[in-house]
Amino acid sequence: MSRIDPPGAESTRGLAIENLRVVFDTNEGPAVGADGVTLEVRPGEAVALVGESGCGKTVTGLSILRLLPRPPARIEAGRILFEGDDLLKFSSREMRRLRGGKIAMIFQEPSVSLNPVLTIGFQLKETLALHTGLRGAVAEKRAAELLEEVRIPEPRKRLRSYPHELSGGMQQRVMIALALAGEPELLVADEPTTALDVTIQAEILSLLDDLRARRGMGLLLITHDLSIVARRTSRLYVMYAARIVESGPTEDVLASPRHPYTKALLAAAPSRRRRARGLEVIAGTVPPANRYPSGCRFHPRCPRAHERCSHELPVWEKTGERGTACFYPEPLSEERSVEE
Amino acid sequence: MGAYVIRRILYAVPVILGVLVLIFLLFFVYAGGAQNIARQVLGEKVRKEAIEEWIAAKGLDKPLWYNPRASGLGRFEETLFYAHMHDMLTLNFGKSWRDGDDILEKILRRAPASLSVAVPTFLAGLGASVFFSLYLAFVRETWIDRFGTVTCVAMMSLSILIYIIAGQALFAIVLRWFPVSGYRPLPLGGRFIALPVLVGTLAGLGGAIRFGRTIMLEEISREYVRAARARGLSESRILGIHVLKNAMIPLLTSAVLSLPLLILGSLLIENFYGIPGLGSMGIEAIQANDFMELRALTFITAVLYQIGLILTDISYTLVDPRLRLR
Amino acid sequence: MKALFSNPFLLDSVRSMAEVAVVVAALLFGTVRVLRHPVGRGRLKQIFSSRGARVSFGVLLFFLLIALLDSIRLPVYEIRAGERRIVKTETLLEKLYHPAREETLSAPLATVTLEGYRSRPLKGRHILGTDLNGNDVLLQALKGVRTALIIGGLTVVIVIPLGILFGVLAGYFGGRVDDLITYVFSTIESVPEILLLICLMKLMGQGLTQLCIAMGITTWVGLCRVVRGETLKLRELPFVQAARALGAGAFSILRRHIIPNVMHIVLITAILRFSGLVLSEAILSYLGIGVEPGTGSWGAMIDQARNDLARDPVVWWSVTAAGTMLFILILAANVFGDRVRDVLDPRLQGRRV
Ligand SMILES: Nc1ncnc2c1ncn2[C@@H]1O[C@H](COP(=O)(O)OP(=O)(O)OP(=O)(O)O)[C@@H](O)[C@H]1O
Ligand SMILES: [Mg+2]
Repeated sequence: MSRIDPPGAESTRGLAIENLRVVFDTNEGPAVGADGVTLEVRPGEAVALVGESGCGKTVTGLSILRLLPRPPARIEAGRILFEGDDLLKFSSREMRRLRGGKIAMIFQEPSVSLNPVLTIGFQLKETLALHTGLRGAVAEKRAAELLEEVRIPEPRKRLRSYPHELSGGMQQRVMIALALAGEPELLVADEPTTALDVTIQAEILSLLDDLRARRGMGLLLITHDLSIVARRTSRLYVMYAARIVESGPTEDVLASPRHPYTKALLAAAPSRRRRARGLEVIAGTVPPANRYPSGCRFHPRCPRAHERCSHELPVWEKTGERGTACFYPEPLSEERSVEE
Repeated sequence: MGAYVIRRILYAVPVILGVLVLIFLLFFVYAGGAQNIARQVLGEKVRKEAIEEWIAAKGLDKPLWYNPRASGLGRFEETLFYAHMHDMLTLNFGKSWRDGDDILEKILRRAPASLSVAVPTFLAGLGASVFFSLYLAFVRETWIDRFGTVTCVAMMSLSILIYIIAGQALFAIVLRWFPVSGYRPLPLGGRFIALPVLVGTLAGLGGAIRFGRTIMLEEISREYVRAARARGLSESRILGIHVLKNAMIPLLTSAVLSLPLLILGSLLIENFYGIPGLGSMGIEAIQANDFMELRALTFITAVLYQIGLILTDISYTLVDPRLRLR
Repeated sequence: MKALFSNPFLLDSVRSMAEVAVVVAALLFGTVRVLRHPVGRGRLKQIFSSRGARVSFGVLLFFLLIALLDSIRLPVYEIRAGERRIVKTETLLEKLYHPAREETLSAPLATVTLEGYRSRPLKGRHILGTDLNGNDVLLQALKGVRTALIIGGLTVVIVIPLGILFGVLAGYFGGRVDDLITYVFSTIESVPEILLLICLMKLMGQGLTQLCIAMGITTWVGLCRVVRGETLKLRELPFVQAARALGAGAFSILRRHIIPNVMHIVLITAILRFSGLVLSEAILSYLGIGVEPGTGSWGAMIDQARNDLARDPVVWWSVTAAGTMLFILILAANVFGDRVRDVLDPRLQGRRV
């Protein structure tokens, strides 16, 4: 199968979401789950998607695999390109082959994401059978290897365990092993460590990092915790109220945020460096998804909001690797812009 | 596991004893003493001596709770209450009032006919409801689903009396697929039990399917289903294996809890289709005012119901590994 | 005055009106309570936003109207030896629709009786024919409405307060109280309902009141269990815990926080239970241990017509009329009850769309 790559070929490899808009039809009117989301994960790259609870991170993640419940969800606009193909045009059969195959996903709550009444081995082997055609003893062996790869001790024995017999961290490792079964090129990890203890969080994150590096697999790490993205991801997208408000190389954005929201988020995050200052909390609350304010959605909470922000939607402004949607962004510090 | 089963059985004991007390309160205390019972059974216009004679013959001439004329423990033992509890617990159900037969023997003689209708009805009902509810969950939110749900509600709204009568009219009289009524023991009598089984299954199906569908839909909205979809499993595999295995617990429970309904069905069905089982025995006992038979039948069904509940609890542990530890 | 009250016909009329008055009063009371509450009004609007709910509610109201007409008893006078006397009472329904009484069976709209060669002309037309005793089938089917509604309605109305009381006590206080109440209802529950009903009816004798009592006992059990379960859940919720921490007495917590929050479950159970009661009544009357003969019951109609089904030509109209009425009433109650549950059940409330 040969395909002539269109101009700008690099960008057609990996995942590229363009202008995605997802709307939920609810009793209280339409709720916007994602609005104009544009985002890219290149092969082998680790990218973070960060934002407060309810901002639409999961919605974005689920849209990639087209797993949103329909109804109420509706993808109103946009394209989701994976290796140049628009996933929104895939048939349900093609989509099913893709899921757990080239693109895999893991979720926030490992304890409820595994089927409680089936053994780990059963769930691994059925996934292997589906994507690799392995069966019987070969599948058994491969399943044990996968458990080993995610650093589960005594993999053979664990195959016969039921999910409830494992700890939360072990369950998440099993979820990762299940995701690896189809040799994915992209792993979407939706808050994979939120439900876990801090020490286990670090282990899981470094496991994901290792696997990505070793397998050359893309990773979209969805989280609300800015403190875990540094050094583990190369680029970062910040989301607020269903829109991407800022993006750029992780280090740069963390060092000098441009959007007031990113800045506030950073100030609120309990990172090692900032502990002395104590927690700064963003004033006001996240608006509900069916009543987003007009103009810039952050303006009611923004310390720098001007009159214009309340009725005009800021356009995406790109400066080199970095981009932001704000009329009055923090200026880029001199040395950084020279560096770019 | 063994300890759990034993504890579960011990838990049923006070309930069974309570049922016995309840039966006693109904049949002996509430019924207003031996005189009244005899009147009900023998009729109003019987001579006084005949009544006394009947009462003595049936052993009803003792006080209810306390016998002041006896001595020692006999004060409690020579009472109707003691006799009732003792007889029931030793399965000594006494003689039928209407024909003098031994009631336990009669029950054992008639049980096979009942079982040959009730067991297939139970299994067919469970199988059909699981199948159709899975199917409705599979086609959820389509017109087939809506049509199926409406049909279920309509089926639930029909009285069992209508099922029995219309079933006979349609399948036996118009279509002539089955005999109108009658019974022959299995394996020869298959023709005879087919219609009662069909009618009994249909009568319970609407409610069972609708309940099953609700359970399946609830199960489908769980996270593990989304995770299974994210792995690329097909919808039919997710429903047929992942969802079904989880749904079996509530489905089994509701099947067992609907056993009393099966009993009710068998009462009317056996009577109408001439199956000489326990159900028609019950109806005959009602018509003949045979409290002895009613008492025994009530007790036995209550015990069977408790056994059913215990078996369900045990089968949970087979389906759900999380319960196996206890 | 004394003579007036000792008149058996008059007593009869008063009782017949009182029975239905209790049900209507309870319905009105409930409706007013719901309407006075803004949330209640919203829910009500939501319930009636579905066409199925509106239609089924209309059907139920129509049945209630028939039952009302059939409950108002008027005396029938006869002048004998120059003296005006009450000889019997007739309901308003019978006054409005009084088909002639025939001698025996006749088919719907027939002009002669169904008696082979000896067929005789009928005194009038009968839309649904007549039964073996010459009674108009339509009138009988209509008279079944009252019995069904009283059985379902009165029982539910009487049982609700008891179910709430014991359920809430067991669920809230736990311990010994809970053990005792739970023990009582698990014991009653383990006797299959129909057998218990049969035993009770056998002992109490036939009659509408007896039926209501017997069914009240079996219904109480289910309601009590549901209320207890819900109370157990509520007891642990923050707002109840907070009220307790603030030193609110058990009685005021039950009245302010628990009971209002179990009402929706009670309502759903009651409506769905109503159909079960009506169906059970039909079965008991079919077995000849339900209402007294002459009260008018669909089960009794089916029982009477059962033997005529084997005749040639088949006498289908009685069974069909009774079965259809039963079906329509139960279907309406089920559709309405389902809608109420969909709107009020908290488990469904969280679900979007
Ligand atoms: N099934 C649904 N029906 C209606 N609205 C929904 C549904 N799922 C999500 N939404 C809406 O979409 C918005 C984004 O939800 P999403 O789950 O993506 O948030 P999130 O960023 O993942 O938050 P969290 O950190 O809590 O996981 C929410 O505000 C919610 O209102
Ligand atoms: Mg999320």
